[in-house]
Amino acid sequence: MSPLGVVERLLQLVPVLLGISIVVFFMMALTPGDPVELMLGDARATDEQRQSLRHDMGLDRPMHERFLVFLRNAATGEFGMSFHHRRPVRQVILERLPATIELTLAALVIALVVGIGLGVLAAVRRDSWIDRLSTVTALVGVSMPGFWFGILLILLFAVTLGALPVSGRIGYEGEVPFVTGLLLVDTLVASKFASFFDALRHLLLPAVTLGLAMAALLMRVTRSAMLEALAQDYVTFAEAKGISRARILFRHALKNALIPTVTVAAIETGTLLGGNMIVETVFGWPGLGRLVVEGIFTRNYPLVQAAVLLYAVIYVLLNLCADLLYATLNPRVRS
Amino acid sequence: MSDPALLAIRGLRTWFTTRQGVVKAVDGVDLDVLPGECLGVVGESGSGKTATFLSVLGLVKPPGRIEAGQIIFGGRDLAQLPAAELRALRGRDIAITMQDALTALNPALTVGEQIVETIRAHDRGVAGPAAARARAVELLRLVGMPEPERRLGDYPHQFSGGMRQRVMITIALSCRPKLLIADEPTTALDVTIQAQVLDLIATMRRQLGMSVVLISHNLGVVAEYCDRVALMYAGQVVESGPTRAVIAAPRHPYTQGLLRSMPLLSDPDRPIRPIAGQVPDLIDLPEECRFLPRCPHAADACRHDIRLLPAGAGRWARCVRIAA
Amino acid sequence: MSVQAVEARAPAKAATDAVAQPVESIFIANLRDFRRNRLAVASVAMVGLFALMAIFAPYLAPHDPYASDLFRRLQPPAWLDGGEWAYPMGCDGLGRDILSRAIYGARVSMTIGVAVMMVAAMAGMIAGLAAGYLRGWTDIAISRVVDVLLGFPYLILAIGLMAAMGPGLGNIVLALAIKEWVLPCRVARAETLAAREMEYVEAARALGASRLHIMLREILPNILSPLIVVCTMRMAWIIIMEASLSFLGLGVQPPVPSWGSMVADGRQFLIGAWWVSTLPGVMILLLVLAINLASQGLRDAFDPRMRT
Repeated sequence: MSPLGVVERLLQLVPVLLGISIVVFFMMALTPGDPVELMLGDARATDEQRQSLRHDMGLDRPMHERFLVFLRNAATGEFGMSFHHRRPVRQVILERLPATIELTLAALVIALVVGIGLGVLAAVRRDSWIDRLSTVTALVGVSMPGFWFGILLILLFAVTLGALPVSGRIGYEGEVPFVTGLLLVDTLVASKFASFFDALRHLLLPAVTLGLAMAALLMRVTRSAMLEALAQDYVTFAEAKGISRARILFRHALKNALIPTVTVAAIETGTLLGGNMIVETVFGWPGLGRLVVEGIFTRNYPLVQAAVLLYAVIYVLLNLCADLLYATLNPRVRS
Repeated sequence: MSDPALLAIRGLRTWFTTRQGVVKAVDGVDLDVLPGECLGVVGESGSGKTATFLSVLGLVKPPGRIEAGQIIFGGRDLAQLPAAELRALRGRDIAITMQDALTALNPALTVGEQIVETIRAHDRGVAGPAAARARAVELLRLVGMPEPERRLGDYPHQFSGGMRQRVMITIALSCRPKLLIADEPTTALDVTIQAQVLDLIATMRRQLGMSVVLISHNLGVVAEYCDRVALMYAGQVVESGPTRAVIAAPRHPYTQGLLRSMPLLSDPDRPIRPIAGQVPDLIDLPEECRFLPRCPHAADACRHDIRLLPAGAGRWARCVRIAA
Repeated sequence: MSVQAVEARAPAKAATDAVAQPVESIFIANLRDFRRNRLAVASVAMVGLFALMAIFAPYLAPHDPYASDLFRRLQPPAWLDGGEWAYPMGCDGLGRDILSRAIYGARVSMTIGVAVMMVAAMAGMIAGLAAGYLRGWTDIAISRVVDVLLGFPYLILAIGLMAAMGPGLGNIVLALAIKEWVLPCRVARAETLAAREMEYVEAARALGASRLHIMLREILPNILSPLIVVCTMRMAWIIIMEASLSFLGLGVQPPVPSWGSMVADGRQFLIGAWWVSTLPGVMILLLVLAINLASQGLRDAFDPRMRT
């Protein structure tokens, strides 16, 4: 896609982002309960104090003005104070974000490796036991609720075998200096290899749980895309050229099969964001997802609002990535 | 059939097992390709032309299978050759161009990569990437591609139909094969470009001293470019011989019918008469002449196993009337 | 040209009749295809079983799903030591019969699954038909709304809405259906766009049929089968979403048993009483698996284009 095409595609996002902001704004603005009371919590306050707080929060202004203020604040990442933490929402979210990013990336890697690997294998060994087994596994994989799968993993690897930790990100967190916030990276930067393996052990089960459904889906997409590619004339012609089987599979067939697969993967990465909340809750993972779930129960609306908006924006950008990736991989679209 | 054939196919049977029954796409084909010659293989679609030569290359895919026969090339039977040896031979000794370059070239890879990988597959280690690239440029220039260096980085869809065909010919010729199988090289092309591509193949044949099998459903094209011709009908060769002799005096009723169904430039007023009837279903064929239901000379003798019989100088025909 | 066109349209009624005829017999052929697929038929039977379980829960459940018996707290399933066949799947942390609660849980899952699917299918179908047939501003407006909804990850939007609206069965249906209608809408729109160019639609238009008539009587019957296929496929997803909401505590509120909340409640007893959390999950898996298999069978039989 040409740079101009990318700009055009970005401009198309503007109305979508505006619509998302409207939905998120009204989702919270129309929520029952007085934000002032929630903000105050158990603290006592006079009516005057309440009024001034109401004014400070902009709640005494008309709805459309409040929306414009919300838009302006959202654009600058300003979402007010988190009720519960009594700190800026932005700060609270930024603290939790690296954990969620690390978990999501790990799940993504697992899903891509397992999904594409098994998909290719199943297509190449079509109708063999490995094809049948992975097809059945994929079917069960998409039919299984993530939280239940996570619990099964905990039962097996943590409770019964005692091989992996049940929850958390790392055993001795304080020792790792902050660089990227991703513990796997930070521990390596600090050359703390014991901590690295500890973080890895903590990450394994949540990442597998989060990646399962996506791996299953990718496996199905890859398999059918590979089968389609392998039936094409260009594969027969490539065979007639006498090039190696590996080259035919991985260069000729896979390069074409990856076009739909990568597109689905980029879109599904957005779905991982939703899965975060479930998996972080199951494994006590201190990320954004669990923060949102807790925020809902503590009626910490500014926090929930900001997080929902953030998730939606990331999701929209991932969909954009899917389009761009598709264009990059498919020469016929590129020019 | 003379002995020093480059490729000798004997009794080849390639069958496809389907749910409806066994499709005998190739059923007892005997064919010779002589060194340096251009052999035309003519037949309607479904007559087994392409299946025969995919069998030669070992590229018949399940449910298809070579059931019987020998494919002698360079003293070895390709039908018995281990897969690795067959692969080494494909593209190096025997190359093929397919009907439609648009589907035969990989849409996701540059044409440069598709040419270079062929060269490197057979020149293992000898030609480095740079040398292989230089050779690809040279070959593209040879087939008449303008600005070959620049176009190496282009994808197949960026070429015109004629240029794509040239790319495919380049790939086929990249390792100087002894035999080129050109499968309907012109069907996917505009009429104006057809002659260019056929001339290119003829030129390259002379330059490289290779043999060419020109598969076509167009007897006119074959008459113009081929030394010898073989006609196929329902999975069998029904007549073969020097092109001129066959066209001047066809011996098999199918060849005769085919010629009558074609317009002649020399005699445009001659009435065109298509062959009556239809090509038989290739499932459950009886052991009789395949052309029997459509043949104007059908007789009881045709109901027995019909073989290819000598029919004059270098000519063969599969018809009982030859022996009589 | 125009004379020919008029002539071609004259026997329009006959043409529509001729088109209508094979549609019916194709449907029957499809049905035969489907019945031949044994796994799919078994799956439909399985889904039916769950439906019956939901409807007749009060008659099927061996115990009161709400009655707690503190002496039976965390009683193991019957096949383990300390279990008894009166409580086949054991008891939860409050000593309630897990089997009875699981049977009642089918009610929540099935009700929400079917309700969301119906609401989404109806809304999506109407919106898609209108967008695809009327085009113009209707299409633009609907497509914009669809784009915005597609901008939200499914669970995030549902969780946000549940947080805003508070718990309750109706709110769950709303929170899920608000995004769910998008898919049937897109399918209906695409199919309508294709159908509006078909001869039978043009014939009806030439005969002066109203837009509403064309949409409901001519186009709708012809786009129904892909819609049904898509919607049955989505029901599996809806059930997982409901279970996820319940698991997070944002779904049906206690003490009403829902499979998702039963799994959540059992988490605290994972060490020592694994059955409390895991067994209700088996129910989700079985139902979702059955729906997936059944819809795959439906898809293969009714919509060959989507075959994999």
